[in-house]
Amino acid sequence: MPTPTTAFADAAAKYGEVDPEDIEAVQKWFTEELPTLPVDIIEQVIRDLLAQDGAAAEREIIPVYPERAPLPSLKLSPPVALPLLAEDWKRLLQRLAARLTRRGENQ
Amino acid sequence: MTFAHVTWWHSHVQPIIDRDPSRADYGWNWLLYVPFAEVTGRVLIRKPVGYTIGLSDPERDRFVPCALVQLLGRVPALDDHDRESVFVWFLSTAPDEALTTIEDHPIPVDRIPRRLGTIALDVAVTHSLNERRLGRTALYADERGGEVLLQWYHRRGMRVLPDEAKLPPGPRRLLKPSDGRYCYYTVPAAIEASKELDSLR
Repeated sequence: MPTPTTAFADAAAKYGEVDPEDIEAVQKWFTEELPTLPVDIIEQVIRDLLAQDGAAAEREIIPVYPERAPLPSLKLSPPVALPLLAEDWKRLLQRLAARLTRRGENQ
Repeated sequence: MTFAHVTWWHSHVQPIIDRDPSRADYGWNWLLYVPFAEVTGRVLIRKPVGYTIGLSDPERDRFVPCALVQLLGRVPALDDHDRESVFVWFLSTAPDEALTTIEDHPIPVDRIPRRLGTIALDVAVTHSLNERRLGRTALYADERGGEVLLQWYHRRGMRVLPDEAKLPPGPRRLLKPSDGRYCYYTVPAAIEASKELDSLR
């Protein structure tokens, strides 16, 4: 159970004077305002929220879901490069270990 | 992971998840978690990164998010505090119903991707490998998932940190100490887990 939504709402109210019952305003504050605040305030927000990680919500906040958000396009979904296979990594690590062993023997 | 993915998820997938209070991701709000993880990762120098696992449809220029995973790319490893690891902060998979009911773009039942949780975990391990963390990956198994979730991670090859073990230095040591629900991959276990999906890459 992550930090309850109420804790996010309370943090937005405390540090951003946002109405904690307005979940969309809370979301906007976390997206747009929080990153612009001084680091010491951000650290305090982080501490407040991590302190409530796993805590039960003290009250209920009715979720608001965005209405009919469109499916993302491919342009908005850049692919990541295909990763190396585990076997490739194993080979890489074995080569590295062999090289280090050789270096150790030569010294 | 992009904002468009998260917005669509909160619009279409999360409402269906929220009908099932037994799910570990019941009541989640990715529109809060992603910016919070970003700013936390940046301030604490934890290298945050989010990935979306989805179905690509080039013909219709659409991408269907099927799982989201938010990672911290640089945290001390649970089993060796002097090494670095990836930490899975949030991981969520779409219920079948969320994929078969997409307006104008329903996924046929026989084409619903399987093993989404395993794939999302594999993404975390792969990120760890690519970031030279040698596969070290850790997470906290949400209490709501109970013993079933803990066993699921165990079956994927993860070890459970004993509840008396000390966490690495950082806010979690104080604020969320070990309680027998932190799981982690050792290097050999991560390599083994990664090999399991090699045939699908």
